[in-house]
Amino acid sequence: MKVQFIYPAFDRHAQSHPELREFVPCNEYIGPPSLGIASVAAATPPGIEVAFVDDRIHPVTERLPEADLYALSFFTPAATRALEIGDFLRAQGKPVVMGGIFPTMMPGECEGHCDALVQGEGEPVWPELLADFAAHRLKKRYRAAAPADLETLSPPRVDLYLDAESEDFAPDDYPLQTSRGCPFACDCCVLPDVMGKKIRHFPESTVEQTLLAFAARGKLCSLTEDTSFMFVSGARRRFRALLRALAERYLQQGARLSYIGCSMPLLLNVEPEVLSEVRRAGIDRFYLVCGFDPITREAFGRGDAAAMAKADECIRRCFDVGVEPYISLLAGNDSDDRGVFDRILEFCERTRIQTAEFVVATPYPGTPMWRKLVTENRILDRTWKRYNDANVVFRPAQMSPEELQEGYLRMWREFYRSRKHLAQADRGRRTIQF
Amino acid sequence: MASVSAEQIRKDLLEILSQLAGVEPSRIQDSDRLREDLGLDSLQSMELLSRVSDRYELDLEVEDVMDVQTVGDVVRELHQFMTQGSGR
Repeated sequence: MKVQFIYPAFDRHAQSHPELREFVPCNEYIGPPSLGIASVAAATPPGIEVAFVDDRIHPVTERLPEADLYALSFFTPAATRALEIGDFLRAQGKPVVMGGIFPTMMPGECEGHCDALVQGEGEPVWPELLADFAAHRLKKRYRAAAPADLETLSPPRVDLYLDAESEDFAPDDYPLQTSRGCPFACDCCVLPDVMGKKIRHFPESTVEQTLLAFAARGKLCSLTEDTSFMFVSGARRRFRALLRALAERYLQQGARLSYIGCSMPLLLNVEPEVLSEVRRAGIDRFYLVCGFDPITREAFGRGDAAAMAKADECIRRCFDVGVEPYISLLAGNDSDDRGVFDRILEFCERTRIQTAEFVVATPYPGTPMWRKLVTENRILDRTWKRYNDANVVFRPAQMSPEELQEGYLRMWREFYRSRKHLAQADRGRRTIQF
Repeated sequence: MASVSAEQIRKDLLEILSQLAGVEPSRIQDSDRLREDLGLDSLQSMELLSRVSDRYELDLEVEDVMDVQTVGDVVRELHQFMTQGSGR
């Protein structure tokens, strides 16, 4: 049996708004696929062949690889394309399985486009699904009774991604996953619903094997887990152990992190020694997300002076320790008035941030924000490919949808107007995902 | 997990609290409320617990500290956690 995994295409900022290419003097970085497919592929029983295709690079509707079963994993921005691929495959009599964040949260949207769908984590049910398929008794839905035991999972099949690279597509970095789950319920995040509220950690050996597998092919890893900075389930301690292992062992073996991503205010109080450990681990960039937490919402949304001072302090701490902040700035929260765009731009100038991305608040299905806006009848657009941080799909509370859309574009335009010099910077500094 | 006396926990906690709240350790009482009296916001409270968990190698869960309000509450919860494990 051969299973063909497909990572469906989705639009990035510059594909939704091609004019951004005029404003932004940076290289467009087509990021790596998420780890979902590599992780599920690793749970495939022996004797079953697996293959991977990235639909962003090789559209499967143009050249379809032969297989017995097609497995699509996707999040909301890729849902429109995924459902289209599902229809395309089924019209040819090809069996289709769907999984990932979108099928988990919106199974009803997917059911008519696939033969079976997986809700929640895929690894625990994947062997059963394949056995059912082989026995011609595929069920409509699969959902694990409990979250995956990360101690027993095989390391992700990152070789599938690395072998799929080409001259057209060779990301510098790939995501590293050290844990799953989060006990908090942030209104824009779907993670606790998909992965559970209890933080589970991957064993050190799995993290090490993944890091070194990427390093062996000259790739960096990115780590974006807010929980790294939190006390819960010993997450902070494990994060620091990873930083020390990077400094003491992995760097010598060629393994490096391209950046650490987190919600920006988490840096505000973190003890200085942790930031020094980040630097010693060879990490020179933070990817800092704003607009999901109370501090940056108060600062940018309402112009609260005390909150703004805290936002400034986060940036100062990054520069002090020698780690460049790359900031993701969001507008469109219910607490954002029309001044949010100017406040964000003034913040960027004042703190001398060199690279940033700008984002429209997006109610991803399954999040508390989605449920609230559905209840309030404020969802304007259910075209899933427009749920990509670049389009207004709901009615904002304090401005019109048009004002929010124009404000988003203005932030990109005005921020990069004074940063044309980035076009001459070295590749690492001038490359951003947009 | 380390075995530590309540007094040692209190001493370490006051040291961290003084850094986060900018208050001299000698001026912090067990009855001081983290938010109302010491002015800690939710992120600072989380940082407090992160530093303590790190120092004592604790795997605290949110439920373990959900009800703590005062410095004395934190000392008691941590000491109980270290001697008996999570009671939840």
